[in-house]
Amino acid sequence: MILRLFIIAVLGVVLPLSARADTGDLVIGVANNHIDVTVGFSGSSIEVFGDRRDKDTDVAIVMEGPRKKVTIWQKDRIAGTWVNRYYTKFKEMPVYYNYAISAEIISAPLQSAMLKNGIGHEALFRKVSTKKSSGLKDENIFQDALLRKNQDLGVFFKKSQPITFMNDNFFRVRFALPPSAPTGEYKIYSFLIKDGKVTERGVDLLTVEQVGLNAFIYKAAHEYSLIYALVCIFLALFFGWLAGALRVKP
Amino acid sequence: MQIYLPIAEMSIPVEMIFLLGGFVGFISGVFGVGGGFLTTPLLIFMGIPSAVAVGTQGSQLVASGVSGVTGYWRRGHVDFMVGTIMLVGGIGGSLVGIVFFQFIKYLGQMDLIISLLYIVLLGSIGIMMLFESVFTIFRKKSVKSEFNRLKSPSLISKLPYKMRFPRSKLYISVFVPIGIGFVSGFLVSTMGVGGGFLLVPAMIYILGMPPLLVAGTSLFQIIFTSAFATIMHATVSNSVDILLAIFLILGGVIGAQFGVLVSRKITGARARIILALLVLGVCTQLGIQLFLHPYDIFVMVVQ
Repeated sequence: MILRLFIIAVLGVVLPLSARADTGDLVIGVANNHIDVTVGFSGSSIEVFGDRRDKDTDVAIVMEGPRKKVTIWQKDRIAGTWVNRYYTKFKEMPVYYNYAISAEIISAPLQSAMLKNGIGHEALFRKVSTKKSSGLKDENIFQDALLRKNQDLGVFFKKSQPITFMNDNFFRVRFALPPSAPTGEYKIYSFLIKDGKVTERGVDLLTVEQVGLNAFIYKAAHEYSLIYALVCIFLALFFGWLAGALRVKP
Repeated sequence: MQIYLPIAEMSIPVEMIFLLGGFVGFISGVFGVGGGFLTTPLLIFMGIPSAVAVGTQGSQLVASGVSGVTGYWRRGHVDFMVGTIMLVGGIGGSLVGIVFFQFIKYLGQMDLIISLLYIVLLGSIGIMMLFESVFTIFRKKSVKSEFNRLKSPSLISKLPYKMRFPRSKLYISVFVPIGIGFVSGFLVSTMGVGGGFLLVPAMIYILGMPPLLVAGTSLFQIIFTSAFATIMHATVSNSVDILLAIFLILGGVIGAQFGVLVSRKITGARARIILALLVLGVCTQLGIQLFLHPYDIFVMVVQ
């Protein structure tokens, strides 16, 4: 009972920030909807809290970054040198992808529900349209390369994240956000799954944004690029002059 | 300490940038070269996107140009007239370079082309410099005389629009300094190098300028050409990272002070041999990356 009250209190604090699912069988709250990327940014983590009404259901949480066009090149040997030769272009690939699912055993119907709803790495390639260079045989190697490259960058993960239940219904998931994660609008999708069917879904927004000096520089460089360039040059002139003036005299 | 670079959009230890700047500053202090040929490849080795590495390098060239030129200016060793005419070519070369840069980026072959350009440039310069300095040491004679035999004065003297440059005592077609400036501008905007090691011999052997005026004049020209390239990179592709530039320049300013101290101990041909070996070392490293089986044959580009 006390725990129940505590959960309600926590959700009460957390939830006003975020969207809620309609019927209330699954309620989700994101602890911090805004991640500030400052000059000293060295990664962060996103805490997602949730409450499901029925303990016989499964929950899945997906966090994905902004979608961008991603090209995977395969190098080949041409005249002794290794050159980017074959490519597969994936339109609209998330630049960050991480998910958590409470089910321990993935049954066949659950698997198909996951694929349909974009849960899990295999689901990533389901609806994405691709453009391939000629001479390609196996396109799976490009998908594998994309997953591996993103894992190396720390923006995709080898496994799903664990969901920690504090009691039968109240749970918590933690998603790591590495410093290499691109800025932009992130989405946190939540799914309630019963008997291999998604019965409820919700989406919360999360902004990863440069702030302070970084935001100022980024904005200046993109919106006032001429003034920005002139400032760069004047700084360089100043430091160059300073170096010349300081130079040890022979 | 990690620092998040706002334009490169990545986090990197600030000490690394500082050390890189310091190392290059040291080299430029010892050998009296800009050191851009080291900075750009090293930044790329560190994982900075090539576009940002090349774009940012321009502002560093402005700084090293200004710090170098002040001394020559004070002694009157700058021919502003030749420098200004070269600048005309330099701006043209930068414009062509920017278009070329955007084109290879579009093709998805930027890393390859930049590597190849570096290998060709550094390889030829390094070998030439090595030969020249070894000759000087063993034969006590410069290869200048041989260069003079090689060049064809007839072709250069046939070019139209001749102009008098009183400071350098030259009467030569404007196309020669414009052409040399053009090459320099192209190098600045595509590779982020000032090209001093190419410009200086070209100005001595092709243009026929008095060697005393060459270094100052080429630096004078490079300041404006690289400032122009910086403006182009910043406005066309937003690839100039001011934080990266500041730390590189600060490291460079400090490194150069130590470099100048060391430069008094090693002189002339010996210094040029070391520089030539360094240039060839970077060239070999880039070549190895191109010819050896890569660690990962897949490359990911996010647009």
